[in-house]
Amino acid sequence: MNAIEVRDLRKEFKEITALDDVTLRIKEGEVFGLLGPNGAGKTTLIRVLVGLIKASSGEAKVFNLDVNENIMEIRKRVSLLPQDCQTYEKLTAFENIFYYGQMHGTLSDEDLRKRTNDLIDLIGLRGRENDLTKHFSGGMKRKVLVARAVVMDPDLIFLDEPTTGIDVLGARTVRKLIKELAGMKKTIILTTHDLNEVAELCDRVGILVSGELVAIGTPKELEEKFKQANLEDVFVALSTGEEG
Amino acid sequence: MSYKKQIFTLIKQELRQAFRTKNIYLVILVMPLFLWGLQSGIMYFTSETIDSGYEGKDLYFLNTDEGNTTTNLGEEINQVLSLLTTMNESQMYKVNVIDLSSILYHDINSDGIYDLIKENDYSPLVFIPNNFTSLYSSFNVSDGEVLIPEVSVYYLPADNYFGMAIKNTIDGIVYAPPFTMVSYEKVTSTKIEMVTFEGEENAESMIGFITFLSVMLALIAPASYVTASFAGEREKKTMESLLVLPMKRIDILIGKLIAGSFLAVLFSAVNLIGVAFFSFTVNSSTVLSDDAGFELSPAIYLMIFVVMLFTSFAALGLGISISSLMSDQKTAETTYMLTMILPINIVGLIVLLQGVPETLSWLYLIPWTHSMAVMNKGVFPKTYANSSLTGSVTLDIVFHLGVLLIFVIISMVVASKIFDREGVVSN
Repeated sequence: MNAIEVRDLRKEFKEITALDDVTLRIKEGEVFGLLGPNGAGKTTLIRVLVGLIKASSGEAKVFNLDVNENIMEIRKRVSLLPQDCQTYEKLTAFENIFYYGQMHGTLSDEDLRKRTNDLIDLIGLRGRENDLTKHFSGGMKRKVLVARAVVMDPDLIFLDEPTTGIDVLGARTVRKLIKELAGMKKTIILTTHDLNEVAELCDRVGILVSGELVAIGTPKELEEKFKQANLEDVFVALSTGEEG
Repeated sequence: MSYKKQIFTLIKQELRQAFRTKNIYLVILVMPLFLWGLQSGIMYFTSETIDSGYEGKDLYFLNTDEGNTTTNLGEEINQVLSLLTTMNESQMYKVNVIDLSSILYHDINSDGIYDLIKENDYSPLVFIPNNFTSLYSSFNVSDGEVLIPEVSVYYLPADNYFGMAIKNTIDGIVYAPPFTMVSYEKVTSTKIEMVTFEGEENAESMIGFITFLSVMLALIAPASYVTASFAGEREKKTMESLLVLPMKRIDILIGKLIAGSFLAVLFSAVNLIGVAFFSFTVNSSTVLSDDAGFELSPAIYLMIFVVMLFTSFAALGLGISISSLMSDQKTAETTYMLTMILPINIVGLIVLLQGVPETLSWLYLIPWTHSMAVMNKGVFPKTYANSSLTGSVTLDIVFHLGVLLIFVIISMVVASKIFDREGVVSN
């Protein structure tokens, strides 16, 4: 079954075409890397799929439900970690994760409390869970945010540049968490500028350039198709037209 | 989980964050108590000053008393009053008594006195009627009716304390020689009257300033919360996480609004404590009496609470719209302050200096004019008795509150529309 099915999706902001007839299928349990230079339309595509903005035309389905008609049902199974998102600094790490889960409303308080505690252990913040996150480093905050995004045990997780701006150890923890989620057959849509991360984590990759989906496949398939040595060269070739 | 529990969780989260913000304590709890306390302090110490004298102030004296063949008691009052201005233990010490008797007609009536005050600013004015001596010299009884000679003290609201100090002085004069009562019928009354003019809502008395401060505070109170909760969340992208929850946008708005309303109610309640303290101080003052028109009944407290609440709600609605349009909290705070503070200062200055004259009735398009009008008319009903819009101060208050309520509803509807835009996430 497809987790995401997009057909001829178009989004225009006045004179700018942010998505240009994008057609895409992502299977359940897949880790899908969405690549593209800044302004390529990655965030716009995610926003359409979670119902934050409406497409100008085309069709978008999540778990076979139309995003325009069944967005509340979709949101019960979906989570988003937005790009550049910050924590609630006046709340503790535990509160940040727990309250978000409560507001999502899919788990009981008891289950949520247990899951919050498990996640705090997993991200290595045990002992700091009752500290306000304003005292946390950027990496610690990002770990809290990733934990917050998965606390309600969603089936589909959008992670918009989850490792940007955090240190090597923090990024490693986040990647470990993504792998664990992938092991649980969660569908993960990952946008990142770190192509090593994509190669390490993603089953398939889609490359967006100026709102157009110019390539889709496994990293290996793309390297072969575009006759490049690695994914980075594929990305450079498609984004700029230059040979890698 | 029901959507009600989701909203409740959102409210809890909003309030928890708010109560961990120092500014919220400052604006909602500390400022109302501080400002009302400050005003009380000013009142208290001003009262002390009033007791010690009004050096350099002008007092207008108009004696139209025709006297009798042997004496003119009006003139004698003038002489004693002038004598008191040279005695440093008197409240009238070094007051300039300006005698208008030689330049004005003696057949002046009360309308004429009002005109004099309005056109020439002859305030405060001591007026002795033309039959003063004859009434005093008679047995005060005519055709079975007791006629009491009367000295009148007229003053504009700005001369509130001075006017009452003059009344106290005149009382002292007419109960001392040569006005000592020789029989119980021989009494003199001193009448005091605050003068206001139709079409003007004067709040020229110093205590009128507190209504301006209160309304301004009610506008500032929601600023910290509303800008953090909307523009702040947009800036930090937490709004995006919030909006992808399985909650309708209107429920998220309602949750945030209820949290903001809770803070507004708290502010209004704390404000009442400040008002109660102020009222206690003012009523303890020796110079203020019921004649000043300052009474705070439970109904007035309720009215102050309601007007503070409506004003805060309207500010909250406007604040949501502003904060949902601005991309960062700092810009939202600056825009919010300009949007709120500039109009209230225009209204405040005009109302404090000259009321709302008919030529400036457009000021009623600014909702805070209605907030100030309710406060002024509710707290000082006697001051506004002659200048009500509808013929009754109570009806005026209902009218102004009604306009405010309509504005609250409009501001909330506009806020919900703006919050529902796609642009609330895509900067």
